[in-house]
Amino acid sequence: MLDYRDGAAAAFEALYARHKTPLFRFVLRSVRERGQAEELHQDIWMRVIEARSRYQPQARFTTWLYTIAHNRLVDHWRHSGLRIVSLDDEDAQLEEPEGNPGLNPERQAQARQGLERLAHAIASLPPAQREAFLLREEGGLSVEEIATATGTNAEAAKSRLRYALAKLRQALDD
Amino acid sequence: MTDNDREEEIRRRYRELAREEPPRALDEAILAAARRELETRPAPLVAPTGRRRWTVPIAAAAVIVLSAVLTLHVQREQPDTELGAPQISQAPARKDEAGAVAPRAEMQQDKLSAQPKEVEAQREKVEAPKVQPQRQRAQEASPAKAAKPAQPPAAESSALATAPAEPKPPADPGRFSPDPGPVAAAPPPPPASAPAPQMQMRQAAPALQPAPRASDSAGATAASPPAAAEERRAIGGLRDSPRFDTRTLAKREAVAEPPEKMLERIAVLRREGRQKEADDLYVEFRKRFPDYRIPEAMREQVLPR
Repeated sequence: MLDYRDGAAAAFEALYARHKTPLFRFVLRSVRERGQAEELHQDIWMRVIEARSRYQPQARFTTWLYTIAHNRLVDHWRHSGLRIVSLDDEDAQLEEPEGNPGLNPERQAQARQGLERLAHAIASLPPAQREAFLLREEGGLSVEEIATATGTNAEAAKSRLRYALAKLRQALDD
Repeated sequence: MTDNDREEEIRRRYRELAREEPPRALDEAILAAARRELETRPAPLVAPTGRRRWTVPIAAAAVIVLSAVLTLHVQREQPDTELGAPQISQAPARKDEAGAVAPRAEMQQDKLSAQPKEVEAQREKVEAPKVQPQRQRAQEASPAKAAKPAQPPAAESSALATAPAEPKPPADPGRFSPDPGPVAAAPPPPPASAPAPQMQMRQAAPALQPAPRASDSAGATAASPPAAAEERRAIGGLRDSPRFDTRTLAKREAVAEPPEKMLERIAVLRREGRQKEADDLYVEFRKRFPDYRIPEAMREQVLPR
């Protein structure tokens, strides 16, 4: 990002190539609608581009990128009418999703039953827990970095991650 | 199976899930926007990192503080020097008639022209050689005064401070006037004892006019209307400039603009090939309407390409 800030276009291309897929999946699995996910993905990168001149390396680029993504998603949920409180409600349950239109139907058909169950279980996690899990799996963030990106403390981040894993484990066992 | 093993199993399975990727068109649009950003806003000459990012703000603050201190200092200094001026000129004025008060009051009103007489006397001393030939010429022109010996500069300046009150108004036309304001503004003195021709006096006076150095700014404002007009034109030009108006108007419009209108503007910009402006407007749009769902029909025309 520093190279891009200093005028190297190739640096941004490398950065984008490295992060585009995990970020896109993070967004897609958070909103569960491909059109929306594409828009949000684009918005997040536009914010990165816009913030180029004032970028300061205070944390890992990945943490900074996912902080932007988190903020964008919070905006999205707020405007979609979802209560922001659900982000911090560890025991909140969302209704079971009807399906994942973001997934390619052919692939869905080919996917094993267990994987489908896992996908559904992830989709049905409360947003805060799902976010913590996805940040860990897609962004490769540590507990501290998850806390930084989501604007919470390490204890809360750790707890969310633990709850998420427990629920996923339960879903796979059932 | 321990908890750690179960977690590993979940992660392994998660990695086997579908690997969705953003569409190629989206990638290209984002990369194009990144390149456009570089073209329009090149990198800063010195990247503000670490301590260096404070250099510019601190330097700017220092300049502002220094300027303020200097301004205050100059303002505090000025009244002192101005107070000194009347003390010199008041002594002879007391001896004079009441008529002398009016011109002096005029002089005090015009702060800039009421420069300290001491300073003027000093300057006169320095410039005496320059003025001397002119004075000689003027003396030649007025034969009545020709025999009169020249006064010392300091005495001259104090005498000049009360000049309009003196009973012999047709003063030596060659005498250097340190304060041309009141002299120039004063009505031409009635011809009295000295038969100096008025025409010659008027001709001599402009030759000595360069004295307004003491009242440069006031003189410049009052005595040079073309310069003032030029300045007014410059200020007016800035205010009337299209850039000024369009920016202000654009801001006002943007505040009240509905999302549909903004989308139309973005689409128009894209059609005109002004991609960078369209990108900026799109970012602005997203800031104002983060969750506005762009209609399918508009999406193609609006999203960055």
